[in-house]
Amino acid sequence: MIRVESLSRIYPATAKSVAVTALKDVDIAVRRGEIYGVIGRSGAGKSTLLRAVNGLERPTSGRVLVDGVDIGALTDSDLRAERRKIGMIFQHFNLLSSRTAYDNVALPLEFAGVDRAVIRPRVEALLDLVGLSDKRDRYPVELSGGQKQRVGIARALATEPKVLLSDEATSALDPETTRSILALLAEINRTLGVTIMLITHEMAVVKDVATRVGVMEDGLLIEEGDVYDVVTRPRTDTARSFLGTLAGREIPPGLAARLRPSPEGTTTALIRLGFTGSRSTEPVISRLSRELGLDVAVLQGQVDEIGGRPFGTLIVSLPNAALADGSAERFLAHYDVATERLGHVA
Amino acid sequence: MSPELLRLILAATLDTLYMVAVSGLIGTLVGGPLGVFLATSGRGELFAAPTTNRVLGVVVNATRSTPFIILVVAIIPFTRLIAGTSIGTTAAIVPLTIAAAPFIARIVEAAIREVDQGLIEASQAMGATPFQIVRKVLVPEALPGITLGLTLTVVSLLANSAMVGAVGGGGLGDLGIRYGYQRFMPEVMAMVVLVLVVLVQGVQSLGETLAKRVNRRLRRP
Repeated sequence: MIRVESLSRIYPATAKSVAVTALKDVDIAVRRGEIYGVIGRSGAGKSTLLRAVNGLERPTSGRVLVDGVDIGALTDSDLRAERRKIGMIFQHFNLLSSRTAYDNVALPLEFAGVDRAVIRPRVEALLDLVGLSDKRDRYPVELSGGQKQRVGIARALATEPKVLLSDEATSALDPETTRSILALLAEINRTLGVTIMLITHEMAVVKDVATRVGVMEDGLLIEEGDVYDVVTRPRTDTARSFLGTLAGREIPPGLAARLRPSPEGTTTALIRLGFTGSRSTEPVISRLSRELGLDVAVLQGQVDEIGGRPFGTLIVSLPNAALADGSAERFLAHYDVATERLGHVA
Repeated sequence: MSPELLRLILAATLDTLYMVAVSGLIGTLVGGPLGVFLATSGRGELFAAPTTNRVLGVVVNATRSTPFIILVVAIIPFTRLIAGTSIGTTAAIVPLTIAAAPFIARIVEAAIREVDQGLIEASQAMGATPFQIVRKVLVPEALPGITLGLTLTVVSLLANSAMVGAVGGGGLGDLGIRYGYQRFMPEVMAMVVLVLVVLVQGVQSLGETLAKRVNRRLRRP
């Protein structure tokens, strides 16, 4: 549905600043009907990437195809027509303070020159879809952040787009509201079949709704794959660092303060275990303890699901010796458990 | 105070209102679009025309930095061209308008620049044309600021209109100078000042009420 082909964007040098490369040779293919997440820190280029999809950014080289249409090759008026097929929602909602919820949702239809008699039922159906029928005549100032984003989503869907772009749509919201907005996006994706491309700096967002994820750093797409694979077996340090914020992956703070990189002067080692697939329910820890005769302490743990597939994370401590000869890690690898050394404590 | 004097004050008040209303209206018709253009024609903006923008900016500044009384005298030939005469109340409308238009332009420009840039981006993402963005987004969103700015304009027009007596324009200022000052009639001067004070108060309250009504950023009880 969206094809990004060796896309680069360089902001030329000005009198005040040097040239900045926001995107370097990025290739992405977003499939029809999927939710694709792009994760990266601020300045990684994800915002530039998203804006290239609806032509708000002109690529320096490469191209973007949306449903087969080369966005960069369109005339101004063709681009406007194409943008009606691509909805967009924003971190700060970007609602007009001078218009009610109803009139905000009607705005893109007014831009498109749609007849008032057609606008009315469509806007009312959309407000109903996002659960805001009772806020129809409220101005944005009278709405909560979550309600404003619902208006934003209804507005983005008004012209019945095939693609929805989400620019950090939940970053200004509290965790509970974030979950409800993500659930709404997932529902829209499922019921209307709208392809969604979202950018975020939170792995929890990707984990909750996306089917695939791309990790960006310094304008490059450095890792890509199914969300399950990237979350359970990240290949880059950047991807791993985003996982750090997920529940159950954090080292308890008291322990983190005492953590040392080298085993010298310490007795135990901390490792993080990742359980995936069918073996995630096997009694691996008790076998590890019994068969290798090790004292194992569980310090932190979480079992979660991504798209209905379970995965577990455990932080455990082992005697240093079991790591030094590699026996524990060999044993765990046999059970398909991913291991990551975290450090040592006295 | 004699009925004669009261009639004079009433006539002068009507003259003042006439000059302010007509110059305010024409000034808005010229200055409004000019302000919209100034706010949207910078580099990379909706109607990008940086050179024209800069030239218009200089013209606007030049007009605004000329003291009103000098502007009145300096443009007498132009006034004669437009109004057929350079003397009288109607003729005074020409310099009043020329002083008001750039003032309004700057006010409209400032109000529009206050509108969140994210709204322009969102509108473009919805497929809006630049004209639609001005008409349906920028102007409605800037309306509270524009309303307050126009109130300010009317107040400064009231002040300027008191100076056009110098070219034979009528109105309250002219009455105050000729009767109150030159004929030593302090009661007329007091009356003129009183009427002006009431007018300014009235305009200010009306403007603030209107601005509050169009401002949807305020929570209503």
